[in-house]
Amino acid sequence: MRDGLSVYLTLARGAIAARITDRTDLVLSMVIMLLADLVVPLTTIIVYRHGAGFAGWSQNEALLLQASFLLAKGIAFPLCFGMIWTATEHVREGTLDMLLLKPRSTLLLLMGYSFEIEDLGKLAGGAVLFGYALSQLGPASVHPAPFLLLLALAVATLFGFALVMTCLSFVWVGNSRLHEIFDAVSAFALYPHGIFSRSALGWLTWVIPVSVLGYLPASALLGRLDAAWPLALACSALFIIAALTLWRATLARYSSAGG
Amino acid sequence: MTPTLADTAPARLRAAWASTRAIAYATYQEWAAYRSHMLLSLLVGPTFFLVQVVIWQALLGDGQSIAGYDRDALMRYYAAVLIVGILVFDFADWNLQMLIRSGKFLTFLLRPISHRAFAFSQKLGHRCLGFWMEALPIYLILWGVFSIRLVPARPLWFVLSLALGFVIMFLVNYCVGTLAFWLTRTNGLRRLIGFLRDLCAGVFLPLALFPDAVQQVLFYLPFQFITYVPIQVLLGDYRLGGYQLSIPAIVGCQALMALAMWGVSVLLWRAGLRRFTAAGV
Repeated sequence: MRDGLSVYLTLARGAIAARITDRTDLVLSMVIMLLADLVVPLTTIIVYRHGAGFAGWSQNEALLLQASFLLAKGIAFPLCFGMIWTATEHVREGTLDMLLLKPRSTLLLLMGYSFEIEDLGKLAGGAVLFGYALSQLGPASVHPAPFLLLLALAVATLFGFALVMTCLSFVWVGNSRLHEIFDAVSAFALYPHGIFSRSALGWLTWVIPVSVLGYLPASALLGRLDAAWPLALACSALFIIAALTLWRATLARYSSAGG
Repeated sequence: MTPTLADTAPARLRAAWASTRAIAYATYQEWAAYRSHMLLSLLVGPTFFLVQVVIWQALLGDGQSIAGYDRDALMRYYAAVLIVGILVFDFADWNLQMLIRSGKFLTFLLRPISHRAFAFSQKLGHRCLGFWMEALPIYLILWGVFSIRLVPARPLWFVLSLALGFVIMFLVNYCVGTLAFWLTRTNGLRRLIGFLRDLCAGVFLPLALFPDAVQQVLFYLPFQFITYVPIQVLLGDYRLGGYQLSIPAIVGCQALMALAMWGVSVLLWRAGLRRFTAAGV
């Protein structure tokens, strides 16, 4: 464990050092990471200012939900979403073999090599929005312990999503638009459950665990978790296990370029 | 005998059209090899649209409206964003900065065609493929699944507006691409400008929903002419920042903006070219 962590930290340090060579570009990238994810909260503010809103959710509660998702993304993206692109490039060029030959977990190596420091901009955006919404609501009305637990689960679920898309890059060789699938599906995570129909909610909870990414942590923080939350939690855990199983199967079937 | 301008101009035009067609066709063939790459739009586009449907149905009850848009109007707006966005899509900025950064741009200086014309021809070919592989199927999905049938209020004006949006998108992106002459690596800047461009072009939210002061500023920027204006021409009504213009008037403004952006791109190009030394030269 300690050895694995040391390997990961060394690789991540290398990735940061390489990225930091273009400092201006890095700063601009961090800014855009922050801004891009603030579009939905901005839309929410504009909509509420025009007198509309989500039933049962005040503007600041809705912002808190969106901030929870941004926080989870801000933690998960630097750590594991870069591996989708790295794997895509390695598979396309046939250089994944170099990683497979190394005496460490391929997944660990992929994650270490693709640590993306600019994605910390998402974390900064999420933290600012979270702080703002929380300050408006007042700290007395929140429940931090279940929130932190569910936020950790949201991060783990995002890791599962990253892993599934990395596996897709083995099948869909050279496709640079895999991220867009996640962006489209996860857009549902930015809104309260009440706006979805029953069947859509079933899909977003039991099949693709999107509700755990934003809604569950936020509702836990506000002390209004619905009764089905343990089942949602179990579905997320199953999703992560399925993603890991898929990863092992994909790697076992990988036959390299020309294999 | 020295040829006169009247002799040479049509011949030049014919030659330019022939090379444009050849480059567009080659690009079309090249991208046709990556069909699944483009077909992904059929999943991503309608999914994003579905999100909008769900959100606005939740936000606006029957008869409720926001800045003049009721639920149906907003659905038509986002459907138009989807179609127009696909038709004007462009990545000339990425292409140009990649060529400059890698030094491959040098080979274009030796060719008997301007790089801008070459890149524009590539975009034509790429979007011809996008028209039937992305826009047409999504149009049918919007019609069949969401019952949204987008029929331009004034078809000829819409085609003209769309063509101008196509050109302005290219020129804006091309200007951003030329910044690589100065900065070499422009990934962050490109993404930042791309984001602001989309925000100011009404891709995320109809511009009429922004505060009045912001709308006044947006009216004079080139970005609204890329997406927002073609969408409003399609829907048959244009207003922004307190200005309500007829369709021919706003399309005229769009043409002026296209000319202005062409001028800016020429100036940036000339200034940038003086700095270009190529890798290793």
